Amino acid sequence: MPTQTGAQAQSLCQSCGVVVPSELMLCESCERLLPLPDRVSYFEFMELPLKLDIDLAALEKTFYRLSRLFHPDFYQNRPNSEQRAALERSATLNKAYTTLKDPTRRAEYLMKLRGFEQSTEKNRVPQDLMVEILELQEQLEEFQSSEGGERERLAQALRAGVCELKERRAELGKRLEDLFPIHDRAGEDRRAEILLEMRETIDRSNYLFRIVENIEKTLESGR
Amino acid sequence: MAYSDKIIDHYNHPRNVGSLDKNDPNVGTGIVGAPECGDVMKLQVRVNPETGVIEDAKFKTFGCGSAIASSSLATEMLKGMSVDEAVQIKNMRIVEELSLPPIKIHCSVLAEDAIKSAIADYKKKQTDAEQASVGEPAVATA
Repeated sequence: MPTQTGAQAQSLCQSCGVVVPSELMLCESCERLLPLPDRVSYFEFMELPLKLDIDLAALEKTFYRLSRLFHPDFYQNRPNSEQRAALERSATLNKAYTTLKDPTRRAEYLMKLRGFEQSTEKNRVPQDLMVEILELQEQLEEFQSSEGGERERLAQALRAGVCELKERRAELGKRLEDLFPIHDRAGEDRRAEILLEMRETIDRSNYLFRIVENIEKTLESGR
Repeated sequence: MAYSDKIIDHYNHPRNVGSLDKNDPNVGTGIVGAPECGDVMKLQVRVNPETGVIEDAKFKTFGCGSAIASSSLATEMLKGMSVDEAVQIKNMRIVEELSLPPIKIHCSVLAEDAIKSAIADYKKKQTDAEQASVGEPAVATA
């Protein structure tokens, strides 16, 4: 039952007046579906503790169960307000599921919840990686303006480069997930430091993703 | 949403693409990036140390058309400007000149960051050089 994440203020069913679990807002007594309060996080909604190292099987199970529970088809004969609530709930459910399923999006979502906002401070920019990306971009331009055997040689070098970049990106993904249990165990004092490391890991991964995408697109189109 | 002619012109004919010698003491280099979109921007200025005026500016940008146009325009604005004027440049000036759409305003922020970072690099090189020249006699007598 959705009670792992601490006590919320109690909500009462507007229809029959009994106490409703505030994460679901589905009255167990009269089965009325009530509007969802804004303060419910995706973690609470999916009946998960506020942790990054989550049980993916449990997440999926909850998703299927709630999908049936909130399916708009079951609310067709209900008042408009409930039909709307069902539609809203299904949309929230889909967003919550896709956000929490993906490790990067889950981490970014938790950062937002914790008020650890993305800033564009320059100290967040990994200089070594920036220089490397600019060099790769130059290689790509060289390829675009080359011909014949030289072009083939450059294409091969770029393909090898892409393989290596993808490996590094996979390693960053692994590092991010390794940080999850460390984050979950850490006290308040160390949490910011770990979130920052996660932020940097995700940033690096995003840069690599973009340059890989760009190289592959150019090699494919041949232009 | 149509892009302004000026953005398209800077994108198709970017001004001042290239590099300056980053080891030149009169050259300041700024490399900045936007992790949200993966854009990377390098902007360099060469300053006349006598006058403090920016004599040349070059850029290389890996990113979207608006990022390229923003940095291209930035290098045009910088030439002939004093270092002190350059750090005053605000991203909104680039937004206005290019008529950047709201979702591309972050590209102009990146250009502003690149200018500030390049000037900071130049200033750091200058103070490092001063300290080195002050320190030299002491090293010689030691």
